[in-house]
Amino acid sequence: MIGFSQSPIAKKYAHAYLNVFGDKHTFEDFFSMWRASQFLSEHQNLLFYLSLPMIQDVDKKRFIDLFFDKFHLFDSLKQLFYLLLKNKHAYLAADTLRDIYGLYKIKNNISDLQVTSSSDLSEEKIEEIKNFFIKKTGQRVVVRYSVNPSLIAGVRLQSETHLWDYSIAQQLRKLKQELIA
Amino acid sequence: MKTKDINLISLFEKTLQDGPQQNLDEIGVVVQVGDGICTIFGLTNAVFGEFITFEGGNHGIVLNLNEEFVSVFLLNNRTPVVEQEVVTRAGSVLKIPVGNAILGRVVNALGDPIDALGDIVVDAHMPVEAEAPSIVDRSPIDEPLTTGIMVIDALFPIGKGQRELIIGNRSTGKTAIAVDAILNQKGKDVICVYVSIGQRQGNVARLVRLLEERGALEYTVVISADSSEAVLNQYLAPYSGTAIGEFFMQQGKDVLIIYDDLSNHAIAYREMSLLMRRAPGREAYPGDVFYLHSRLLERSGKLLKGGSMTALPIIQIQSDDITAYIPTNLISITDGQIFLDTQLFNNSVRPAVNVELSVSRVGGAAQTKAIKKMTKALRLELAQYHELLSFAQFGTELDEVSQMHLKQGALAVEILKQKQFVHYSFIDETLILFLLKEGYLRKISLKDIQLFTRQFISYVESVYNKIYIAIQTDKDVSDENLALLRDVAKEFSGIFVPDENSSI
Repeated sequence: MIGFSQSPIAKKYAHAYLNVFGDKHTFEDFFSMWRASQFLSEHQNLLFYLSLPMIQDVDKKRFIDLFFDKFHLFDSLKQLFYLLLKNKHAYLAADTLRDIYGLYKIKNNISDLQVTSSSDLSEEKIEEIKNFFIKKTGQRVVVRYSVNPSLIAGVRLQSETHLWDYSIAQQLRKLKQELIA
Repeated sequence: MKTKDINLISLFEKTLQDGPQQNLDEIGVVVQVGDGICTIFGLTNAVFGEFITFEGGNHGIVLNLNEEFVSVFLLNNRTPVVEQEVVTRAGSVLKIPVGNAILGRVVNALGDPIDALGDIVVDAHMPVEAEAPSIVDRSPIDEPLTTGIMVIDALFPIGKGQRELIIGNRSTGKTAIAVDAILNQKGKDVICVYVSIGQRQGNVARLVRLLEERGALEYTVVISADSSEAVLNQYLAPYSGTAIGEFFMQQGKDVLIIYDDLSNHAIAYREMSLLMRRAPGREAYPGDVFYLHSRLLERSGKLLKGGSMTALPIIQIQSDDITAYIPTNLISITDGQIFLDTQLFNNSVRPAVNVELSVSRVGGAAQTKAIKKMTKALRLELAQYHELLSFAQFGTELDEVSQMHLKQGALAVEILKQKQFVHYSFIDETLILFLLKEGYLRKISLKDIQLFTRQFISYVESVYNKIYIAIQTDKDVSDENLALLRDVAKEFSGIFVPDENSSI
């Protein structure tokens, strides 16, 4: 969900990639990059092994090929991975993918919107919420919907920079904080 | 967990009646949590020093602004902050609640009471970081703020609105001087603010009890950020104390503020800067450590419209080294320093003020004429004494003049000794210094000096009350009164009976 990594080097790679290949991909392509970055972030040990000098480049490249097959990524991105490997920046792979997705969203004024409700919402309601959010922010929105009974009742809309929370859980939380001396 | 005594059901109903919000809240998301610090993505419109609220109930302050991330220091170490937690802006810089009812209370760096005496009635909210009064709003320092400590009032007088640094090694009586200065303000319509930074809770508790026992707590506010608290609280405490002081100063009152001590404050700021990955400089302090203290101490001063804030920052040094980074910074920021010497302290010269290394740059203009008249040559005498003393240690035979200087110097050192919690009024100080200046103490043995001076003051006050009152009202000793005092001193020298049991 969070747009950028904290690495300025990763951001430079991402900028460079978008400058060259930015127009050649669809949103789905960028979204698959984000999923790949999530996977790598959760499995940091893979990046660690990828950075180890004692592991031969042939094996590293074999891993990259396998990884790309699994996440249906494309050849241009593979070139970027090889470059990261060559420049000993393989540990930045997850950050770079995340930054590419983040920069793409900024360029195209897209925002990820997480809609959480206490019980199931109909398609129409979600659409209504999406329109409400677009009206307020003026951004294009990619909605992700989930049900969370811990809200007790109500809806919570959260993007990277905005929040609209009207749930009982939030009211109770506020009340608790107000009551604590 | 302590809760406020309110009707929960009605409050909850009221909360629900508020209805859904019309606009979206601008938020940030925690991406990294460290030791008292967290990095937040978002909050693009946040400003430096802005108050931040975490969804989990913690609070923090923005202290670093990057392109996409901001660094926020946490105010509470006990409320956990987790990754992905949502944070919202308060929309303003940190303000603390203040009011006249804060007097006599012990509060934390956020102005919340920590003395279990209940809530404080709030009259205003003062920003913790505020601009210092401009040059046109200030008035020259011309009114004395007496500490009741003769060596300070006579040689390094402090004026209302002055910043006088108290500097010395550990256990040399730095806090004792500050506490004496607070105790001496009783009945003088001066509000005292004592800021404790990074000290042990036991020390603060002892100090509060002492102030209470001596009736000084009623005009004092104690701000405590002890060593167990989050580093941000230690960083904020002096600014909060100053904000409280400013509240009273703006009402036209005189304020005395003690920062005990700014070495701990600098250490707290160094820790914060290193956590924020700012480049370390000399002694690993960041480059803006000078500004840290200069912007704090510039808020003290005397206002043209009335009201003043006198600052007594305390700084601890190592091995009498006043050339370390923070001490030199503070020496250059303040209007003088009182240097406390370990050697003097160990030689039972207390307060252990080193006369050669101490100075008051602006206090002279504020000194009462009476004391000024009596101390004209005192510094020179003490300087000559110390010089001759080191010479005499070689066993050299000295001429009569040198021996006279030695005797006079020893007398000066003796009368400047003063026990803690014993305070002299400016009249007492004038009379004692008169005895020294006019040479009436030369025939008195060193062990009887304190007794002689004490009894002389009582004698003048009771028998020659007119002179005593005249000095009190005029704040000066006229030539006529000076002649009378000479006669009184001669008379008293004749009737003085030394105490044979006394010893020094």
